[in-house]
Amino acid sequence: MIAIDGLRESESAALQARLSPLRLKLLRVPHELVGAVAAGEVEAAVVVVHRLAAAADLIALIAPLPHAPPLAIHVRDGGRATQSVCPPNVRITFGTFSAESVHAGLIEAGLAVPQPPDTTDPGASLQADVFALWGKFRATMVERVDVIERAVVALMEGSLDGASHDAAASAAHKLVGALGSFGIDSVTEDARLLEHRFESDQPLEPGEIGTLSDAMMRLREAVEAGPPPPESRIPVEQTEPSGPAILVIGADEAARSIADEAAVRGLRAVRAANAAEARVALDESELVAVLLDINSGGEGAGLDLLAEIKVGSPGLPVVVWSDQHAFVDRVEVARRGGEGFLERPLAPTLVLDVLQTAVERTRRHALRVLSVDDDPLVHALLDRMLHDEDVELHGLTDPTRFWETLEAVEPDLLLLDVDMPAIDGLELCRVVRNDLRWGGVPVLVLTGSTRSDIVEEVFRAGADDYVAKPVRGPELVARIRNRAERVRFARHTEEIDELTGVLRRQRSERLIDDYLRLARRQGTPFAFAFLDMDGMKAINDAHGYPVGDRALRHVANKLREAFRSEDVVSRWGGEEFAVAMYGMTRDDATHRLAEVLEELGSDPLELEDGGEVTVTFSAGVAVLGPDGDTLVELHQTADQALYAAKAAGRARVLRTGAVPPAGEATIDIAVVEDDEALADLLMHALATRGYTTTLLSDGPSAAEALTGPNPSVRPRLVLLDVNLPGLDGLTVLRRLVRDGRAEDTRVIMLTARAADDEIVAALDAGAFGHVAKPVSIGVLMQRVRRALAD
Amino acid sequence: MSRRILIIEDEPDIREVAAASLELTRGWEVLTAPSGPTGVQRARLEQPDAILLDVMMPGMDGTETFGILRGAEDTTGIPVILMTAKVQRAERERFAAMGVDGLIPKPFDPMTLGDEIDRLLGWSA
Repeated sequence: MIAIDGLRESESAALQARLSPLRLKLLRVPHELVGAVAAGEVEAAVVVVHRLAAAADLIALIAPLPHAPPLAIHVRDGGRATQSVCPPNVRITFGTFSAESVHAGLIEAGLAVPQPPDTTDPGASLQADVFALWGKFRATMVERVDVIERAVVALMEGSLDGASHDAAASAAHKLVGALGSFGIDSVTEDARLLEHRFESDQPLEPGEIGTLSDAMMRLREAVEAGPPPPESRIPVEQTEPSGPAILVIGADEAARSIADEAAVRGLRAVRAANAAEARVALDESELVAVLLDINSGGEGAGLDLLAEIKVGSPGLPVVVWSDQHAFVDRVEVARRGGEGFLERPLAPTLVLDVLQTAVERTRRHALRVLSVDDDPLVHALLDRMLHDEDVELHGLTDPTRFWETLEAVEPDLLLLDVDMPAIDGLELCRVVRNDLRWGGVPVLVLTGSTRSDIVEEVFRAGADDYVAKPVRGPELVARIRNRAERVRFARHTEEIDELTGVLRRQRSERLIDDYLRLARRQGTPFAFAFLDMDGMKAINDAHGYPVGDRALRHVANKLREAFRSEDVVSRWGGEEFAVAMYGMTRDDATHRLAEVLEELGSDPLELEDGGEVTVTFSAGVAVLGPDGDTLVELHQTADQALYAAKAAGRARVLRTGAVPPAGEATIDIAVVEDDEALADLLMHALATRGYTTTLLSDGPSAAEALTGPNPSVRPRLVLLDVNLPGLDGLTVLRRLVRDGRAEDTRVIMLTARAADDEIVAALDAGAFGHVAKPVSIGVLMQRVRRALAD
Repeated sequence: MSRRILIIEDEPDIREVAAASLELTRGWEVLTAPSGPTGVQRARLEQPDAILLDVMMPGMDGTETFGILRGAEDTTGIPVILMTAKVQRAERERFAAMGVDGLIPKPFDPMTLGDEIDRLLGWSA
């Protein structure tokens, strides 16, 4: 069998046509390929990926497997790599996919033979090939239509120039000559009419407008719809997408390509162009995940829709994406429960990877069962019996390949047959029991006899249970389910920290590594925070260890509430926690942790004696890229920032590179505010977020420090009160602008509520934004983040 | 029997559809060239059994290319079929007068392109 992955429908049809009668299996996810390879079912694999990095990941996954099959990897986007870095049985090709080049690769690997075309139905393969070619040239065709359409509009407006005139004639001519050959016959005459129109220099006649518009419209419709797909003459083992679906919200072309890619993977995709359509889909379809364009529907509408979905369908993962250049408040998205941030442009396959990961996480992990039996019929039977169970069955008929398969499948449960020719099942069971790594795997033995001496022998070999042949479905299912529950429970206790309920360190490291790999491949931001509780010794000394434990749980609960499934929250040591945030920038991560700190501040731990203890932590934040590429490096850097946070007075979050305020250090934010209470509140909120700050309490001192030819304070942002003693805020703002400081220093004015004149004057004078008093810290911090964003 | 066909066509979409058509329906060997000059060169070097030549190409167009092929001793004997999206009778008569071996109107049907060539050149299928 040849496994292929990552192909669009038209491409797999073309490839199938070329490779027939080889048996092809369409796979949807890399792990299916790994499973199939491990099970020895794959003679060769053809995989199409978008980037070279994905190819590298795949090689790393497949190549070490025993009996790794020859692998033909086709990289769609750009790049060249030397073949020399590849293992010998891997062949990489680049560029636009063509069935031809993949076929050539397989011939070279000795897996396919060049086929005289008449051994298959030439008509069918030609249709498939032509259809695949349409996929390749579709964009060219649409562009030709665009050229003509622009010229038609210009002609009607009387603004058509010579070059556009000629370009339209040429584009129409090419469409006349090509569309019919691709099976779009209906509009050839329309294209010809447009060609004639632009071959002549006649002025537009009154009656012509309607004719041209109609032809133009039909032409566009037909080209965008494309030719009908060829009837598949050769059955491909691909299940029709049915059942639960992914909802893609967003009106543009990108949403459509995601829906196409989902179909390639056998997933159903439902598209919604706006919030109203999305609501209908949410009501009517069974959904497993949502991809939401956060900028669709205007300012704030995406965030509102996200919140609405999360309230209506709390368990449904929502992956958020946006255009690269649009501003997205990631913190707001995370607060409303969004699970990921993707920036366009991004290859559809990567988007689907993220969606599938999100789905996987919400789904209960299927129980992986490895069945070793020399009789393939038994596997087929088991497969049918366990079909409706949450079980992933891997069958192995050749017991001599047991160990390599074991390593590849990593089963949760082993089913061993007693009577096999080469190795007997009990022998295998004994060996497994003595293995350090696999000794704990539950083993069920299938035996032909229930004689007491045999049963005794089974248990002596270390099996957990036995099932007598002939296997009865209900009994086997019950026994497997029983074992499965124990495995799940054990797995849970292995992974979860008993005291705090968050992940243990070891498990979290594996998860974080997965996310890191994804983030590196996609160029997504990734932040790692390392936290240490403040003053735990004092708490333990004053109130005893039980209160200390409660304090740990209190913090863990707040972290769990604040961070969602996309984030990894874990306890790494006595009083240390780690939080990994996929898709979060340095700023985002800092703010989210600071919010947890503030939440802790407003919710002290109540003691039995009626007293209260406020629990805080210090934290350091490191990000992928500038602070390192591996978890070890990120941990190290975050730990240094954590140390700095402790040194700067605890209960705060510091980014790497941030220096605790001292001497001439650069200042992030200057607060100009004469109201002491408000000034205190602002300074504290900013310090919690690791910003370096300075306070100026009246107009003249602000003007002196911030303006003039040689200002002593050069902050990136000024929070400037309008009403100041001595010199009002607007005057200070105007001087900043006059002195050319506005380039490097943004200003947010603190204005009186409903004082429209003040606000207009402030914005007019060059303020970046304004916040009305009484100030909401949440709103203000959002503005601060935005002001410091770039 | 197996044939070698050279397709001279500047539009990659047409080139690939025609090539796929002749390879898959007839099993012919297909050579391609994206311009007149390259086409002439390939025709000289590889001596195809027939040439499919697009009329409207930038630079050296089909008419000119045909003139060169016919004028050179080593390519003068290769049959040439023109492909054109123009269907006016005057045009067709002009091409016929030049001495081409046939004319295939565009768009062609990829399912029958090979048959059409057979018919025009009197090849037995």
